[in-house]
Amino acid sequence: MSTTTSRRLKTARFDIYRNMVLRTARKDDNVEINNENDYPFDTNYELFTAGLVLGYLRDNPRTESEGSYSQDFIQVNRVGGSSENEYREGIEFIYKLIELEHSDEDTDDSELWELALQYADAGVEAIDQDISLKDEFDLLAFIDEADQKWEDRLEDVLVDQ
Amino acid sequence: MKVKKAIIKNFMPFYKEVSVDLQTSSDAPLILMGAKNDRGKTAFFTAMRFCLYGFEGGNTGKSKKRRKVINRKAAMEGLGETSVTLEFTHNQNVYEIERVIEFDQVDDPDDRDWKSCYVTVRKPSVSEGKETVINQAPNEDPAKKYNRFINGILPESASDFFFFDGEELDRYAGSYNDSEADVREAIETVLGIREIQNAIHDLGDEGKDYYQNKWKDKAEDVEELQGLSEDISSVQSDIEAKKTEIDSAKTELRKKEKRRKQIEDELAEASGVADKQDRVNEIKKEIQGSNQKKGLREKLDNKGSERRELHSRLGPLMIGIGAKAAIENYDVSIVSGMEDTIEYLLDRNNCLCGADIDEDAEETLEHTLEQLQNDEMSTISELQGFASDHLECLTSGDYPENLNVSQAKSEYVSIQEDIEGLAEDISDLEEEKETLEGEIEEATVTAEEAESLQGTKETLDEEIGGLKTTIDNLEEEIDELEEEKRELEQTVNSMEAADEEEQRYRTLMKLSDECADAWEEIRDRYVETQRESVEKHASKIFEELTNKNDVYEGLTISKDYELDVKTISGDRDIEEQNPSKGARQIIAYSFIAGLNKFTAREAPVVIDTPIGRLDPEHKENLIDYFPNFRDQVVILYQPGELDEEDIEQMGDNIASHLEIHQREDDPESSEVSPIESATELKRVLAK
Repeated sequence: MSTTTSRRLKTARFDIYRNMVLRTARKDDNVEINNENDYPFDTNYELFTAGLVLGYLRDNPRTESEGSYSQDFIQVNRVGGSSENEYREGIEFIYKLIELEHSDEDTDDSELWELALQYADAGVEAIDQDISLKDEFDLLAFIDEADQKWEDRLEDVLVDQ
Repeated sequence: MKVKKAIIKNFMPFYKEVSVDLQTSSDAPLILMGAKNDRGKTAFFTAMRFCLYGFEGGNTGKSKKRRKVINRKAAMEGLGETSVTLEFTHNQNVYEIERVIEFDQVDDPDDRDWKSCYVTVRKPSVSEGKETVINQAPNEDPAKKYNRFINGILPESASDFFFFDGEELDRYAGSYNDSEADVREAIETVLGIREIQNAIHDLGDEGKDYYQNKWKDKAEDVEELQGLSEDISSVQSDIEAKKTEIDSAKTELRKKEKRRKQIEDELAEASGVADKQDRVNEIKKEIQGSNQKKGLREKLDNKGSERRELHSRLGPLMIGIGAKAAIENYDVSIVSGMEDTIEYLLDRNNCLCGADIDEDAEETLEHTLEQLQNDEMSTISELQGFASDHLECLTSGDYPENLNVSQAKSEYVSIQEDIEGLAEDISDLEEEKETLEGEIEEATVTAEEAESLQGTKETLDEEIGGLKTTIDNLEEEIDELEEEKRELEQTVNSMEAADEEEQRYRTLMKLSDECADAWEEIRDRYVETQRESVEKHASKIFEELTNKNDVYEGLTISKDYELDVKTISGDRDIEEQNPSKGARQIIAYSFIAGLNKFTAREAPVVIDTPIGRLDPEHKENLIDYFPNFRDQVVILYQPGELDEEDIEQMGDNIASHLEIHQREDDPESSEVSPIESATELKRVLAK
C-alpha cells in the first residue's frame, strides 16, 4: 500500500468542478455567483469523493483523463484538515476496495490511484450529466443507485478474494 | 263798510258811554252832526278814526295821544277804560270793532295815563250773543291780524279820502312832493290799483319766489328722485355684478365638485390599488422576511443550504452505504471476536458456561481459529476497518444528525419537500405578486398619484368650502341689495308725484311771472282807464261844483295823480292857475268824489268842517252833491257852516241830525243827542 502522501486529488474535468464547486467558482473571475445553493459542493474534494464513489460503483473509469489532469487539489491525507473526516475516510475506503480488487494484479500504487482519479472523473461526469439531464441535483437517485450497486460491487471485490 | 252805531266811552269829552246811531239808507245817506267848538265834533271824528286805526306816529306819539284821549273825570274816578266801538256791516256781515285804552285811577287828571290798549273785533254768534273773531292782545304787533282785517275793508292809507277835514282838502289840489308819496299810494289804494300793484308784486316777486322755492324744493325732490333712480340703477348693477359673481362661483363650484368626484372615483380605485400594493408588500415581506421573521426566500435558502450540505456529502453517504454493507454483509468483526474468544477458551480449558472443553471441542476450536486467521479474512477485516472508520466519521463528525444514510435520505426528502413547498409558495406568491403588480401597473392611479390626488382633493375640499361660503355671502349680499333696492323703489314710488309737482310748480312759477307781466299791463291799462274815469267824473263834479263854468272845463289827472285845471285856454297846473282856497277845496272835493265814484272800497265818508271857506255858490253846489258822495256821509259841522236853508236843501237825504253838546249835569262832558225841534236846530246852527 502506497503512502497517502503521494496520492493527490485532481481531475481532467475541471470545467465541471468550476460549475459545481462553490469555492472553485469563486476563484473564477468570469463566474458570477447568484446563489450559493446552485453549487452542490463547497470544496473540490467533496465533488471528487462523490465522483469517486459513483465512478467506482459504475466501474467505468474515465481512462481519457489520464495525462489530462489540470492541477492538483489536495493530498488525500490533507482532506478535511488534520483530523479524520468522512471524505478522507471515504476516499480511503474506496481506494482500499480498488486495492483489494486489483490485489492479484501487478499494479503499483500510482496505477491504482490513477484508476481512482479516472473513477472520480467518470463519476463527476455522470453527476454533471445527471444534473444536465434532470436539471437538478438528484441526490436520492445517486443514493438509490448506491443502495442498488454496493452489494454487487462488494461481492465482486470480496468474493473473488 | 256801513256804520250802524258808534259807542264812545270816556273818550275826550265823552264821559261814560255815549251811543250814536249812524244808520242811513240809500235815500237818506246823510248824517249831520252839529257842534259848537270844543264840544266834541273833532273828538267824535278822531274817535272814529281811532277805533278803526288807532293813533298814528311812533310809540311816544301814540302814548301821548292815548293818554290825552282818556276822559279826565273818568280817570279821577277810578280804574277804567276809554273805548270806541263801531258797529257796522260789510259785505252783508255785521262786525263790531272795539278799541280800548285801559287806565288807572289818578288824583290829578293831568297825571292820567294809559295802562294798556287793545282792539277786538266781534261778530254775532250763530247761536246768540257775539263771538270774538279777532282779539288783539295788548302791545301785540298791530300789523298782524287786525291790519289784515281792516285793510280788507278800508286801508288806513285810503282812509284820508273817506275821513277828512274839509279845510285841509286843498292839499290834494296840487302836486305832491316826495313827502306826500303816500298820497299817491292812498289814491292807488282807493282805486284798487294798489291791490293790482300788490298782486303784481305778489305774483312777480312773492308768487314767483314762492313757486320758485316750491319748485326748487320739488326740483330737489326730483333731483333726489333722479339720485334715487341712479342709486337703484347702481344697486341693480351691484346685484347683477353679484349675480354674475355667483354664476361664476357656481360654475367654478360645479367644476370643482365634478373634479372632486373624479378624484374620489380615482381614489376609490387607488384604494383598491393600495390594497393590492399592501398585498404586494405583504408578499414581499413574506418572501423576503423582516427583522422579526424569516422570509420564505431565506427559509428556502436555508433549506437549500441544508440540502446543499447533503449534496456535498453525497460521496460519504454513498460510501457509507457501501461501508455499512461491507460490515453488515461480511461479519469479519465476529470472526475476529471469535478468534479472541477461541484463544481465550483454549487458554482456560473450560467453557464460559462452566462445562469442560474436551479434546474434540478443543480440536474444533483450533480448526476454527486456523480458518479465522487466514489472509482473506484479514483483508475483509481490514476493509471493514476502513468501513468502520468511515461510518464513525459519518456519525461523529460535523453531522451527528445524519447518523445513517437512511436518516439522511429521510432528511433529504423532508428538506426537498420543504424546498419544493417553499419554492411553490414563493412561486405562488410571486405569481400573485406579479399579477397584483401587473394590475397595479395597469391601474390608472398609482399610489403616488393617489397620494397626490388626496392632496388635490383636500385642496378642492377647501376651495369648494370657500366657494360655498362665497356663494352664501354673495346671496346674502344680494338679498341685502334687493332689500335696499325695494326700499329705494318704495321711496321712489312715494316720490313719483314729485316730478309732476315739480312740473306744476315750474308752470305756476312761470304762470306767476306771466301773470305779473299781464297784471302789469292790466295795471297800466287799468290805471289809465281809472285815471281817465276818475278824471272824467272829477271833471263832471268839478263842473257841477265850480262857480266858474265859463272858465273851467274840467280837471285833468296826471299819471302821478297830480291835478291840472282844464280851462278854456288850455290845461294848467294848479300852482300855475293858483286858484283860491275855496276853489282848491272844490277841486279836491271833485277829485275825492271822482275817486269815490270808482273806488274799490266801500266805506262811509266822514267830513269834518265840510264847508270851511267855501263861498255860498260853491257851498250850495257841494250840498247838492253830498247825497251823491256815498251811501253814508257823516257831516260834522260847526255853527255857521250850514244854515236852515242848507238843511232844508238836503231835506230827505238826511237820515239823522244830531248834536254834540254839553251835558247838563256835567259841563266838562259832552253827549250826543238828536235834534228834535226847530229850536234846537236854530241853537245848533247859530254862530
